[in-house]
Amino acid sequence: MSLLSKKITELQERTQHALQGGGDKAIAKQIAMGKLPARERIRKLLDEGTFYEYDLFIQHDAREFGMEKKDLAGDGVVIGTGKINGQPVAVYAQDFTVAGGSLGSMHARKITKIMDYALKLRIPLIGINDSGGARIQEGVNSLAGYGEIFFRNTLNSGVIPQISVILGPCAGGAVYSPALTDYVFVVDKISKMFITGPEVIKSVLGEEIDMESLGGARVHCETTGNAHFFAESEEECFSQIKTLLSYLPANNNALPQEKKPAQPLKKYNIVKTVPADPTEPYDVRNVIRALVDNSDFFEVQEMWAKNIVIGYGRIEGRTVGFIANQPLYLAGVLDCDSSDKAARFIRFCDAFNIPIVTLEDMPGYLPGVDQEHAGVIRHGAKLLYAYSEATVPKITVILRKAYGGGYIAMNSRHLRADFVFAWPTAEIAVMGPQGAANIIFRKEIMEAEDPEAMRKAKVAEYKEKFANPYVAASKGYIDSVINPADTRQFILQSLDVSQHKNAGMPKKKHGIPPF
Amino acid sequence: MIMAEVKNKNPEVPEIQEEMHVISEISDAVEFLAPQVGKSKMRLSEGGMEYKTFFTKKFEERKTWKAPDPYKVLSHIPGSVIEIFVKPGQKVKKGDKLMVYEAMKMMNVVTSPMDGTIKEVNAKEGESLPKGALLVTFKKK
Repeated sequence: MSLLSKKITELQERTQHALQGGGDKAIAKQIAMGKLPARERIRKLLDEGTFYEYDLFIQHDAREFGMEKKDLAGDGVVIGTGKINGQPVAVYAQDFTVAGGSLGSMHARKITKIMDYALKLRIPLIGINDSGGARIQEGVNSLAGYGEIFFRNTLNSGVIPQISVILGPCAGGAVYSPALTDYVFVVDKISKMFITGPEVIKSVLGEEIDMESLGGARVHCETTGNAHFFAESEEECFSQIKTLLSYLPANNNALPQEKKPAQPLKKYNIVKTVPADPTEPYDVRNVIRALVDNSDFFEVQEMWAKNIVIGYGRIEGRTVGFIANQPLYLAGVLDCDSSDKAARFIRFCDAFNIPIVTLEDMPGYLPGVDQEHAGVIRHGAKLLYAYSEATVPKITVILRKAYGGGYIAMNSRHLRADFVFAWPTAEIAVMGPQGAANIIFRKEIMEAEDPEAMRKAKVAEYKEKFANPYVAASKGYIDSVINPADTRQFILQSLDVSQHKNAGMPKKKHGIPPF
Repeated sequence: MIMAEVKNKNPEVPEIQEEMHVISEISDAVEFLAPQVGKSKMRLSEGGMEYKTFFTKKFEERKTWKAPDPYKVLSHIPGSVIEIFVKPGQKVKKGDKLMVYEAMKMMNVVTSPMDGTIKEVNAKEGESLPKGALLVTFKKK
């Protein structure tokens, strides 16, 4: 055997050994838990044959508590680059089969290395989290590792899209990396996220709760809003990631890939979807589907704050971010959660050159002590801030109700919307006709022989005069009153003429959004 | 025709199949599906405008606000009662120690919110309590 062959054989043996991860037993255990091994996950996520792994031979550097005798393959994390939809991405996946995917200093160094690559190469970063948490034997070095990761999440924010995939436990400080990234994907019964687990909660506070109810996938999609996408299986989750990335650019200086333009499907009829009576509900997602290519609307955070809908679609092949009040839930009101949800989405779209289309139909802010005490003022301000700050093309279509503070907040002309259109059914007014008539005509109503009849007459009078789009149109607050059937056409031409938009912000280090 | 395909993630949303519903049927669909989510209507305080809509889980589960009772001292955090310093009938001044309450590894001293007389000591030494548990009741002045 030649010397070269010997060397190559040695390389192959070392590689084989490292690729075993935690060994057959640990891998069998992982599979028994319904989870895929780390490299298998990467293979399923990336385009076939595109993955190149780095730092396979990394060794941990713990020298205490007998750790120096332990061999941890790759130190429990897999890093590399590959492609999704033909576009380059950087990826890491924690390997639960190696010391429970626990994070020590070298493990962290591998993650920060691929994060630095992603930033330098200006490509999206995908992190697959499946870890028992800090490697206690490594003490403060493990904490340092987390800190280095969080710091890079923050540096990368707004430069490259960052995606977190929770495919196992992600507990304690570890949760802050996903929280700092743009999109969090979870899988039913597999994902678990919490700061303190059920045992600590029980011992410190005496509250008993199981892991799933505390921080399972459903909880984070429905209740906390920490996660953005819910999947039944790891495969479904990977397919969601691919779909999301198809709408996004590689970085903040790039544009999303264009797709072949297509018409919306005929079954989504915009005119028939929206009832003219402003108190009747409908599913605003069907309005979006009637506007976008192939009626493909990819919704973000569909299970949380359902009274506002956010997500991506394409118009003539180009990515558009949609924000729409959802009359099907809570009459489409704005509240703490819906403002929070929409504001973050706006900031993402703005950072990544994605035009924003706003579909407005809401009666105002949700009344209630719980809302006021939960800080609806501060949360609501996020929406104003995000819309005002955004410099990507911003188009608003007012379908029906645009009352009061909500009218201002939903990308009004006054927050520097580029184009504002209204349907003939739009009611742009300081408040709903009932409330306004009760205040303005209070005296007339009180003094009338039949107050109820007078109230009705005055409401009708107010409705006739003010609950329409023409008062706002007469002031130039909206650009055109349009036939609902022409909505796609109007959005398309607005996007077309906005391609070279250049709207600046005053020079500053950064603003101070109300978060 | 109401087509309500029940999806796992969103069981209550009427799914559009084949043809779109005409306007009146959409509202019927919402009414029809209403029992699955409890009440389908909500009333906004804007002069009685009533919107037909679904509630979200969070909205349905929200707590109605109650004015706090100034004569009741409640735990501000889950924890355990370590030592109680007062008895029923005892007169205390504002700021007097009522008990030591351990929470988050801290020995918190619970003090009297007012000058007054203790009516009842509701907590027991050694007891683990949730947030908002009744610790001490004062006599109404």
